[in-house]
Amino acid sequence: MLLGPHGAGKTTLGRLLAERLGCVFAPELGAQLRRDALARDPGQHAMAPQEAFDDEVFRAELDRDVNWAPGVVRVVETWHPGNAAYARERSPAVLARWRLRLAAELRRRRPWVLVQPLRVRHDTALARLTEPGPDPGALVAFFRRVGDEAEALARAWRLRVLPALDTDDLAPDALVERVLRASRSWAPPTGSLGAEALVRKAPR
Amino acid sequence: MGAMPTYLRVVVTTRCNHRCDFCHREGDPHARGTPAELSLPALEARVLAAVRAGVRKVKLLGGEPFLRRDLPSLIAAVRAACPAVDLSVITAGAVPVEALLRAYDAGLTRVNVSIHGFTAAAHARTTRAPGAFALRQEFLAAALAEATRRGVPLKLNYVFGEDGDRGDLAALLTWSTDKPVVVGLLDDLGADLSWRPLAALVEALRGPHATQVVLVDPASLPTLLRRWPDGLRVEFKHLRLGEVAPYVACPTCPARARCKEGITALRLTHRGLFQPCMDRPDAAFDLGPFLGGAAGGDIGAAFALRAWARSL
Repeated sequence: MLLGPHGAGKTTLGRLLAERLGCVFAPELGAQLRRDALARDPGQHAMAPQEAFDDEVFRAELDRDVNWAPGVVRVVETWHPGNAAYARERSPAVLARWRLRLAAELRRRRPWVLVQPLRVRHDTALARLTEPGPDPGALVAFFRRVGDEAEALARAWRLRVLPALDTDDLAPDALVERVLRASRSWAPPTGSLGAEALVRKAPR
Repeated sequence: MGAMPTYLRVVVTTRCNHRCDFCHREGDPHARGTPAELSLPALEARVLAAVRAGVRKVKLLGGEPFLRRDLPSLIAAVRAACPAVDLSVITAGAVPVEALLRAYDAGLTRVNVSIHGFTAAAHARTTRAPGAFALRQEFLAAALAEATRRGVPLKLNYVFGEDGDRGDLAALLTWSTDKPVVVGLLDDLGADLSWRPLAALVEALRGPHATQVVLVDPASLPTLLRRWPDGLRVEFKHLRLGEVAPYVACPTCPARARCKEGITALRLTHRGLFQPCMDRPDAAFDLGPFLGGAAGGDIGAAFALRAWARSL
């Protein structure tokens, strides 16, 4: 799972990582839904309070999880900790309603989740900003706060979190190498030694 | 594809208490006078070899899978071999509720109910099984309760063909609106429909949708999930296997032009043959010669399956 503020490179890195691993990349669901929301009402920018939107993001993310067997590799952007961090900022009542359900889902999937936090400087994030909003500076600060909260939530939910990576000065390919190297020692449970032996031995 | 598929659809039997016209049995029709299913050891050996080869999502279907009394044994064996496997059943639901509960006890992850007619009249017309409706309704209520308890949405598949009953579909959508249900709306693969007319039909019945997201499935093709302001959720298979061409052999496949499947998966047919898709029974692979020894399959069989699947 890739976590970090808007502009940290989650989507770029996610696509490259999934390509290298030969698996599916699941981009941020909130971004998909926000495009629709903005088309309907340009005032529904990322910082605006929007209970129905956050409610829909939680619901859609859990729907997406239904298709995921825990043993199947995927690269996912933001996921529940990121969605929860957004909701905590702009619609805490929605997060309160979903908290128990999210905790149950994360508890179930915890052994198979590895979190890679990404960091980015304020000026870089400002230069990479693509989201509309009333004040670019405030928007970047908001996204950084969400990124920090998402990482804190991932730790609070006892997910395995790798050391954060600064993405300002590294090329995407170099970032991929860093993530792969950092995750090398991680061995998720497979529940089947036979399968694991095959997966490890078979050339890809 | 070049990689081992992680999704396997298993026809555990061709026996069924319905007689729907559109049943495809994953592309391996039942021939009169031949066995409807493999023995439990033969079936287990093949499924477990697939799990050992890397399959992580297994769907048991038929015919009517719950007609196999030994289904819980198969489920338990697969669950024991790989606790993380996503193990589900597609059923028409006209079976005693106890069959569902036994399957959950054995380790089933979830169940999809195929709604072959939501109202009593449409159910009788589609299934040509008068009297099965009450049993289906009881099963549906139990499946909904179980899904709610587990916190996952209940998936209801509905096939709408050229002569589809709009009133029946409307009744299903209305019923589903305030429940933790996702309706998977599918076109009859034999008809020349696609997801767009189906989506337009739902909009005509329920008004414009509020949001949509593409749900990526690592084991198969993505799906499009639309949500209506009143909470109704409908899923469409908006991509076709022929368009996406995920297998190495797809670009030159003679069946590509007519390939309408919305699912990427290996199939294990009732005769025990592995098929890459429904349209290519000629490309089937018999794992039988590689299976030796105890039920549960062996590493050699898993390697053979893996090598075949990765060459697709």
